[in-house]
Amino acid sequence: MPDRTPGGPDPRWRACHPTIRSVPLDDELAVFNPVSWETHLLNPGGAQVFEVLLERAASIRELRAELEALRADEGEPIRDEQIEALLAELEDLGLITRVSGDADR
Amino acid sequence: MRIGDLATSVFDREMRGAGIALDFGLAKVRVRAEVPGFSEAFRFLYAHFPCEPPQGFFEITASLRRSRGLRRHVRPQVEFVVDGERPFEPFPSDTHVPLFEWGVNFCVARRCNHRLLLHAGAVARDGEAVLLPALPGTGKSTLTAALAARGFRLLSDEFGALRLSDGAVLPAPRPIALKNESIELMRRFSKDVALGPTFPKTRKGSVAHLAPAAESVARRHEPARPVLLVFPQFVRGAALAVEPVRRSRAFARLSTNAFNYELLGPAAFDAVGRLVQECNCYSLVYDDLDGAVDAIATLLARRGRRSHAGATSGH
Amino acid sequence: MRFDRSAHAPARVLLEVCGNPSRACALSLDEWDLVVRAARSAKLLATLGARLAAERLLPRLPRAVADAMESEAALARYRDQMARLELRRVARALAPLDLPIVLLKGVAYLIEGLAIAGGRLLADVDILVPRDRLEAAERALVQAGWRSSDLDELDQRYYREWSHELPPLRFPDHPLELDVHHTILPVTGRLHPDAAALFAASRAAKLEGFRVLSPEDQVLHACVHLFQDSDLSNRLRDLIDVDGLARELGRDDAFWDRLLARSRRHGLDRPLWYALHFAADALGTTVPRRAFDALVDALPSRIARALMDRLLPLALLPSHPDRMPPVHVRLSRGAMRARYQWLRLPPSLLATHALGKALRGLRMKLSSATPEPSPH
Repeated sequence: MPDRTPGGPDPRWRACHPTIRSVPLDDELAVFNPVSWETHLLNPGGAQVFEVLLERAASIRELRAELEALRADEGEPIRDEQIEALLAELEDLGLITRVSGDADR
Repeated sequence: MRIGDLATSVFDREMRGAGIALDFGLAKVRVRAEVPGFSEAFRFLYAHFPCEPPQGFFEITASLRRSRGLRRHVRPQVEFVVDGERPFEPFPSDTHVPLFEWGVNFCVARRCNHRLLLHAGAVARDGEAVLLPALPGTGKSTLTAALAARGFRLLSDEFGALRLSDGAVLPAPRPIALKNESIELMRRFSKDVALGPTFPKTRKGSVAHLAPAAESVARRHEPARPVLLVFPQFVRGAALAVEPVRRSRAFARLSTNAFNYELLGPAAFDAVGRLVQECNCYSLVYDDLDGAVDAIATLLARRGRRSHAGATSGH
Repeated sequence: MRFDRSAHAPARVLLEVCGNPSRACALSLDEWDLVVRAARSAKLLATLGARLAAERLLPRLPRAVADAMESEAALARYRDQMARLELRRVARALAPLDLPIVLLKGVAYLIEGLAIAGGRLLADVDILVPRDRLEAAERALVQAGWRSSDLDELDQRYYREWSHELPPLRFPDHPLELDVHHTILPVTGRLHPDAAALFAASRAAKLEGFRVLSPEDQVLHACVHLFQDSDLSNRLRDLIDVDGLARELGRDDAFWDRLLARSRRHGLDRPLWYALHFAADALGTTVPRRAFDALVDALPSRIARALMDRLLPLALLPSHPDRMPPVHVRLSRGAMRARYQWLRLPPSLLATHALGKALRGLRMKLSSATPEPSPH
């Protein structure tokens, strides 16, 4: 369910190509963009986020929860800006796309 | 009957006439040449290859012709002609072998895009292949030659050709081009090396070719399974250093190294992904060839002792 | 058959197998050697492979032959992919201008999924925009990152004033060039197809943001591209396009009447006649008798016909792979080139341009898509 705060829905993202070719390389991920034919290498953080978005749409809040669960609360807390920056990059590369959380459209 | 068994005059006549058939595994070449000196050098370098009639289907049909231009009276030149086209400018006619080798490489890169072509040396032992992806100038040809001289089967010094269906390395044993100091180095490295004539004053300096050993030639149709990726870097005076390379880094280097990574798109991605997952990946800095050869032999042996199923990350 | 008489064996066999793929099963390795080499130099090896694949004949070929075709097919797939990428970029760059963008030739066949798109080895991306929006389109494309070719002033002028297209554009590091046309034949040529009519009859393409010519106009474009806008040398591929379009689009008998009407409208009867005449001869295209009857007024003089009948097959077909083109082929090609310059430029302009760069240099648009191997 999209997370609705008063005043507007939580934006969510999902991977553009759920069946995208990918190869796990230790804790990193190589991904082949079928539209641009470019190859991208994602570091562990990027790989974790992307793998979630391959399975389902998620908001920043949901992704942060996912990442923290994976890390078992080790290390520095993950900031929303970091996730935002990562999502912007993935969107730029054509790997993910924003989906509207607003069901009224 | 092998090329080296033919009488020089007979061989020369064939070369000038119907042409010589050369099957080097990855591809077959039909070559004709009318340039003095070429057949003799060719016969030495390709001595272990079987004689075959020049009929049938060939991936590459090429000829070395004397240039027809007016220059031919001042400075004789030789051209590489393939299917009625001249892909490059003529060479001086006494650098015929380097021109031939260059021309064949050029054709392979253009015509073998049903394989992933890494720019890499490749050798094998007991069916397992070591790939040495490297840029020109890193010493890969010399290192490949040294490995071959120490008993590894030569697969190629230029093209690590992978079959897309299963990732096997396909042999293409041909003369190894050595440049400048490497020529003397290899002469000292191994007394048994079969070095062809030296061609001075090519654009790359002096070039001489090392003939592939009989066994490498005989087994040119036997693919090998890649198990080891070693990125070599020759550094004068450096101590030997072997470091594991992260798989993602190896992937990145291979994708920029391969001749046709971009061209093959998803097939190349799959092939490089599989290669990196199945191989142990290392970088090797070296100054001394013996040390480098031993290091690679050790890495290969160590790889064999680990079970294949259990082998996960490089280290 | 004129082509039969003039063609050397490899070219004859190539024509046969292109037209009738099942003949491939009967070829010997020696024949394959020559056919593959001739096909490759005619840029038809991937096309041949695609036709054999469509008939499920590849498994029946010698392994090495199928491999050679697969290598070429990889090249064709890459170019198709790069073309699609380029079109997406073009659509984004030109969207704000809200103008009709018509796909031409190879990219049109690709996007519309025509049979001749299979294995076609695209050389560049051709689009057509209205003449009065040409400058705006160029500005938008350059703004979005495309770079114009490095041409000297004379050649720039040639393109802009006399030709039917802008100097080729290229997006940095992209293997294909973008050719922006405003009509389908040079402005200075002797024939003047109705560009406005081309747009009026165009229809939405199967790719959003683009259009394609009507089927009749597509055929006419293929005809004029070969017979007015090329030097006819080693251009079998273009004739195969004409044949393929006629087969696929001409299944509906009413198509031919529409084609003839359209040709009359554009004043393109002569190149249409040439194309149908030679396609039927070389490739067995089925052209209804009434089409040739309707074009009888456009027939070239008997002498011109005889000359073309003799020279065209020699020039059009790839040379024998084992020989440098023999003298008479070189002469034929020279004659065809002279004809090409004559058709493009009225005599007064011809003199001016001949002093500059060779025309042919300007037409070389093929960009290499494979990286250079490092020569050792």
